[in-house]
Amino acid sequence: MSSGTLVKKTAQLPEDNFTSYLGMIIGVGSFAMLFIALFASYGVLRIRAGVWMGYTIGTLPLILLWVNTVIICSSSYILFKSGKSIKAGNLNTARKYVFATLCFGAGFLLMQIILWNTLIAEGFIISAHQAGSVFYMLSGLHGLHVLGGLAALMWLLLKLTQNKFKEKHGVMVGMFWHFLTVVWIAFFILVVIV
Amino acid sequence: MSNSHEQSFWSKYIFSLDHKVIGKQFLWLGIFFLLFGGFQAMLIRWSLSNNMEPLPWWLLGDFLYQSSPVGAGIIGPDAYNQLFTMHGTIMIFWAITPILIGAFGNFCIPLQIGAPDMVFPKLNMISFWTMFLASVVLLFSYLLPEGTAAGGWTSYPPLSTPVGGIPGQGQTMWTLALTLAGTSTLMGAINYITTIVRLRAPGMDYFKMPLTTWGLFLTSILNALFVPIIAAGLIILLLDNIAGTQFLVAGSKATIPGGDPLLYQHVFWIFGHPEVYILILPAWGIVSDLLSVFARKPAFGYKVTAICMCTITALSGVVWGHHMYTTGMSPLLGKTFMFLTLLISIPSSIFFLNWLGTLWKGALKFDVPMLFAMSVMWVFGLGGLTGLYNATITSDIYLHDTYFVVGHFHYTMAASVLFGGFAAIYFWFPKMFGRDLDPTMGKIHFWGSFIPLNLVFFNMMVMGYAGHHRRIFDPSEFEFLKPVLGLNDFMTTSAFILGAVQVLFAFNFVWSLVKGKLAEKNPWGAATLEWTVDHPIPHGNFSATPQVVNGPHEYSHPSLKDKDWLAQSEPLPS
Repeated sequence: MSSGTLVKKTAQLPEDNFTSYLGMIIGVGSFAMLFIALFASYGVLRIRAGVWMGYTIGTLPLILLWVNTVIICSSSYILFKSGKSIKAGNLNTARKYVFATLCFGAGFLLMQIILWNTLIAEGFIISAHQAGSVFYMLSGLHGLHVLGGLAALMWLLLKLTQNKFKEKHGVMVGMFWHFLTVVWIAFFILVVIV
Repeated sequence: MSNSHEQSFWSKYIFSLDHKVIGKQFLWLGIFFLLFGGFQAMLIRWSLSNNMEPLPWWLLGDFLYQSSPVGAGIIGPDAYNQLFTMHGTIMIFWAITPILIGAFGNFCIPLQIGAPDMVFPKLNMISFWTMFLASVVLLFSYLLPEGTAAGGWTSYPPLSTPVGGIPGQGQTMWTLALTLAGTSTLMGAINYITTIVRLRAPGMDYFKMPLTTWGLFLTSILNALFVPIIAAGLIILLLDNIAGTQFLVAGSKATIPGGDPLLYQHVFWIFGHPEVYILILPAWGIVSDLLSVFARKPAFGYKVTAICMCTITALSGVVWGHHMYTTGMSPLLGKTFMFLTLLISIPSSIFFLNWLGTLWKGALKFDVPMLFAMSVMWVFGLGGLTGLYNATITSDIYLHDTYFVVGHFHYTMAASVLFGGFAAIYFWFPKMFGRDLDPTMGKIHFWGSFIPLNLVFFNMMVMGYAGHHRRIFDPSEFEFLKPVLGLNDFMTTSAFILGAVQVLFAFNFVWSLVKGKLAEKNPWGAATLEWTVDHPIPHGNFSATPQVVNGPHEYSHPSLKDKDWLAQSEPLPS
C-alpha cells in the first residue's frame, strides 16, 4: 500500500453473508443459554415453592400482558414482511415496515412500563414474594434486550435511509428481534399462564 | 510497514483493531493481574504462618492495612476473607483468562490458520475494552469502606447475599465486574469460533490446524455455551443483593419462603466445571504443539489428541455435580456424576500418553518453553491423578473443602495453566515483540518456579489430608493441626521464593522488550504458519494467502536436507 492512499482500518476480510450469520447465531445462541438458565432456575424455585402466588391473581391487570403479547408478535410479523419486501427489491416498502416494527417495539416497552407501574401500585413488587422476583427479573431483562433490539432497528433504518443497506443487515437484526419475541412468548406461557 | 505511520498513536496502540495489538493488550492486563493476584497469595501465606503479626516491609507492611481494626499492618479475619476471595477471582478471571485466551487466542488463531485478522475486528476491540472496564470496576471495589467481596471466589449464598451474609457493597461490585468480564469473554468466543470456521487458509483442514488453535477453538465453544449460565447466576445474585429479591436466600434468614441457595451452586458449577476446561484446553493445545517442536518430531497421535480434547469438551458439560457431593444429593445422582467424571480420565490418559509418545525417541531441546511445557506434564499429571480422589464420592466426603482440594486445583488450574501460559510467553515472545526473552533469566525463572511451586502445592494436599480446612484463618488454633504446622511454615517460605522469582520474570519481560537480542524470523524452527511471517508482522499478516499443504508438525522429515522442519505452506522438496 503506498503511503498516499487511505489507511484501511481493517485488513482485507471476506464480507460474505454466512460469516456474519454464523457470528450472529453464536451470539443469539448465547443469549438463549442465558434465558434458558434463568427459566430453569425459575422452574426449580417454582417446583420447590409449593404455593406460588401468595395473592389473588384476579386482582391484577393482566390484560396488559395479553395486549403486549399481541404487540410483540405483530412487530415480528411486520419485520418478517419487511424481509419479504427486501427480497422483492422493494426497499421503500421495507423501510416503512422497519419503521412500523420500531414503533411497535417502542410501544411494547411503553406498555411494559405502564404495566410495571400498575402492578407496583397493586403491591406486586419485586421484593414481596418470589412470584414478583421472577416476574420483574425476567420481564426486566427481556425489556433491556428489547431496548438493544430497538437500537438495532434504528441502525437498520439508518442503513436503509442512507442506501448502505445490505441484505445481511436485515437478516441479522431479524434474528435478534424474532428471538426476543420467542423469549417473550416463553415468558408469557411459563410465567404468566402456567 | 508503509501504512503504519499513518495511524495515530490512539488508533494504533489504544483502540486498535489489529488482533496482534489486542493480544498484547490482553497480555499486559493479564501479567499485571498475575502479579497483583500473586501478591495477594503472599499475604495469604504470611497470614497463615504469622497470624495477626504485622506485615514486614517487603510485603509493603508500611502501606497496607494501616487502618485495620486489629492493629496497623495486620491482616484481620475480614481482610483475610477478602484476600482469598480476590486471589481466586483475579487469578482465574483476570490473569489466566486474559493471558491464555485473550492474549494467545488473539495472537495465535489468525496467524496459525493463515487469516489476515479476526473476522470481527471491532467486536475484538470492544471485547478488550469491556475487560478493561471490568478491571476498573473490580479494582474500585477495594476502595469501598467495607472492602471488596469476601464470600470466596465461588460466592456461595448465603455468604454472598446481604441477608445473613457479609455486609458491604464489595459483593455487588464483584458481581458487576464478573458480568462485564464474562461479556468480554463471550465477544471473544464469537470472534474465535467464527474466525476458525470461516477464515482458514486454503488447504487448512480442521485436522491440519495446530493443536493450540484446536484448544482455543474448543475453549471458545465452551465459553459461548456456558458463560451465559454464570451470567444468569450473577443476575439473580445481583438482584438478591440490590433489589431485595430472594432467589437464593432461604430458611430463617429469608422473609419470604422458597429461596434456594443450592440453586446458585448448580448454576455456578454448570458453568464452573466447563470453566476449568476453558482454562486448561488452550494450555493442553500449547503443550501438545511445543512438545512436538522441541522433540523435533511430529506430535504422536495428532488426530487422537484433537479428538480426545473434543471428547473432554463434551463431557465437561455433564459433570458439575461432583463439586456438590456433600450437599445431600441423591446417591443415584451422585454416582452418575461420579461415573461421568471418571470417564474423563480415559481421554485425558490417552492424550497424556500421546505426549509421552511425542517425547519418545525425540531429539529433545531443553529451551525455556520446552522446560515449561514438560513441567506441565508433571503438574497436570499430579493434578489429574489427585482429581480421581475428589471425583470418587467416598474419598471426597472426607476431602471436601480441605486443602487437598486446594492443592488439587492449584496443580490443575494454577500450575498447569500458568506454566502453559509461561511456555507460550517464552515461545511466542520473539514473534510478538521481535526480541528474545533472556534464556538465562528464563531458566532461573523456570527452576525457581517449578521447585517451590511443587513444595507449596504438594504440601497443600498433605495439609488437607491432615484435615486443614481450606478457609481457616489461623491454623495454629487447632489441636489436630499442631503436627503439621511446621509444614505450614515451610510452605510459606517456599511460596515467598516462588513469588520473588515471578518478579524476576516481570523484570526479564520488560528488560527483553527493550534490550533483548533481536529475534530471528523462526528461532525455534517451528512449522506452523505464524513463523512464516516477517518482523514486525504487517497489518494483514500474510503478504499472500498461504496455501497449506502439510500438517502442523512436519519435523525431521527424511527427505529434508538443509533443515529439519517444513512450514505448513511449504511443499516437500522433490
